[in-house]
Amino acid sequence: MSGDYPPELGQRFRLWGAGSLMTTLARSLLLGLALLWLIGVVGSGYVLQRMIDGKSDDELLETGNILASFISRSPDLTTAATALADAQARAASAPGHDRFAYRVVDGTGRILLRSSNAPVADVLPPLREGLANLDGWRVVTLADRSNARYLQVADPLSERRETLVSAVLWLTAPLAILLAFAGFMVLRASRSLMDHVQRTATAVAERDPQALGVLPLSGVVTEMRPAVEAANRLLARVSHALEVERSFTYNSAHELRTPIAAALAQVQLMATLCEGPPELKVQAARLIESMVRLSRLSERLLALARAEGTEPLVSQWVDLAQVVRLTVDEFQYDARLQGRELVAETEAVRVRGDLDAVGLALRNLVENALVHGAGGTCIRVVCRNESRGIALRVIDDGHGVSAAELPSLTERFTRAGNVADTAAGAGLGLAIVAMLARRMRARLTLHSPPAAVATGFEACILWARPSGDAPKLR
Amino acid sequence: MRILLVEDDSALGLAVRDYLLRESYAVDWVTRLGAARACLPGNYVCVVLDLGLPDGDGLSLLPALRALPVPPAVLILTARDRLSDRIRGLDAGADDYLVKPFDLPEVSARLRALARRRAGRRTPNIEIGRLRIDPATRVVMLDGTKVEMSAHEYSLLMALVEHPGNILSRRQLEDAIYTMDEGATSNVIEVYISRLRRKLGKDAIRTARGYGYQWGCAGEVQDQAGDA
Repeated sequence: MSGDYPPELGQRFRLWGAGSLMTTLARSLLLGLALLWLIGVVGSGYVLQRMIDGKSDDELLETGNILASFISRSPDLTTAATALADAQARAASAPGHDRFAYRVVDGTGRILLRSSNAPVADVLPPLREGLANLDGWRVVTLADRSNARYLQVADPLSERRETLVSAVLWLTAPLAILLAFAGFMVLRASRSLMDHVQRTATAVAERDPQALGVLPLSGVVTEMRPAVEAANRLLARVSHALEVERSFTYNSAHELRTPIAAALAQVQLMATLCEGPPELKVQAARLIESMVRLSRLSERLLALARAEGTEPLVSQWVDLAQVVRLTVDEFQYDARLQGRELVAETEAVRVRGDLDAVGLALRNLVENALVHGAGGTCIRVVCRNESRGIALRVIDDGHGVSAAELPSLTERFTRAGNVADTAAGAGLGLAIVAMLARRMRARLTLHSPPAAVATGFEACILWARPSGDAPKLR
Repeated sequence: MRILLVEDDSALGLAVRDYLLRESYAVDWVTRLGAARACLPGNYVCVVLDLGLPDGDGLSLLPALRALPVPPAVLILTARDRLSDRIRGLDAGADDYLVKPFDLPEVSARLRALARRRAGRRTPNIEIGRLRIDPATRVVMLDGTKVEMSAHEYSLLMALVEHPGNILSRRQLEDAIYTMDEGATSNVIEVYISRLRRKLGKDAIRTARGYGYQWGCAGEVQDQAGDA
């Protein structure tokens, strides 16, 4: 059995951990209930004791009065003893009554007569009529004035305590069961409540750090809503700020297209018409080169603004073969100018993504191969179904880059060493492609040289194979 | 070859027009969709079309172009660089799509390719009998010898050889070599036909009386010195 807990169980444990809302809530509720229960028990015990004492005292007093009337009519101690013993035996035979104790004392406290269960110690004067507690007994003292004697009748206090304890036990046993039930209900309710909170917490925790869309409010408990709404307002502000920034870059770059196109066209026309000295033609060529570079930089800024969004780009099925054909057609002229061959090798494959994002990524990869693949003769643009997934590859047979340079190529404003001096690249192309690939849940990998060849560079965007619901290709 | 250029940016439109004129195209340049529609009866081989125009989307012109008796090839020239825009443009009936900024020679190359496809040719060079034309360099060779041509003569020759079986009216030939601004004076077509016959042989161009002219076959050059 594995020692690792499944994530769900781990979250559950964390929920119960120190400082968690659920522990605090359950502990407070159970403690409160127990305290309430304790107060209830103590209160009812006190009331019960008062009731038991009152009733027992009444009974003791009544017994005492009856016995007192017996002995007042019997001046002779022997007659009195017989009457008292009879009365004691009768009382003991009644159900629910223990045998009481009695004794008759003279005015000095000397015992004249006593029942067998009565204490033997003398009673210290002065003797007073009424009720009193004495050595574990509840005693009522009554005066027999005609014979100058006192009668003491007593019940053991332990009897009363037993009654009280028994009554309290009977009273609290159901309360204890109620407490256990209440505890169970509290735990259930708090767990259900915490499940809601946990769902919200998980939804926030599992969120892509790049995603700035609103958190869903469905299923969020009322108490958590203000927090989620506040977080959403914050996300909306951040998202808006980023959008404004992106939109500014995008619009600026887009608006620059036509003026740059016009300037480039004018310069090219000037170079064509130029009949002057060769130096002038060289100058014109340099100007054209600068314009092309400016144009490329503007293109890359535009692409960067598009790529930098945060929402996933997985809204549609994209026919990779179509994207490859159109892109290869677009760059055919540029490749021919460089004396290089640009070929499409396509299989009918589709991926989950975004048409414009795939187009933009491939455009950047092909431009990258054209700008950086110096020394090569052929650029292959390949899309096919491979064992690891669906791959879109751009492979050139140029000089390639060193292994040390590869990892940094997807960082912004990093150019391969072979073009650093010419500044032909903007250093954004592969960073843009990496961003787009990530948003399409694909992966960009770079290889130099490509597998099974001596030299060149390969960029590959790899999609996991779709889960079988891709529409059939015609 | 007559081209309709629809581009609202004056600097860009001017540069493209001047470049294409230099490449021996007859170019009519308009900056609005309305003006483009007004030009449509003209026998254009290609329309170079911007999409973001002040009075509408360039794509809305495509149905009207497709409805012409001989629809011209359409090259879209636009700042809209998204792949979905490209697909939308091509699906709407454009034949090619070029994103700004672009190389002027690329525009010319793509126009040549469009013209070639429209004429049903598979190779860039035109070879008819003993005549060989390279549209990319505008070099005309007869039996391996270069024949010098003026821009109008070349345009007229191209119009005839692009449709070797068709009889082209004088109007059609005028459309092929003149822009609207230039206009054509009377008998000018006959003058150019006569020059071409002198350079390429008397049977190079047949006259269909009352109708127009048709490509024949290039033959012995009778008098090449005259107007070279």
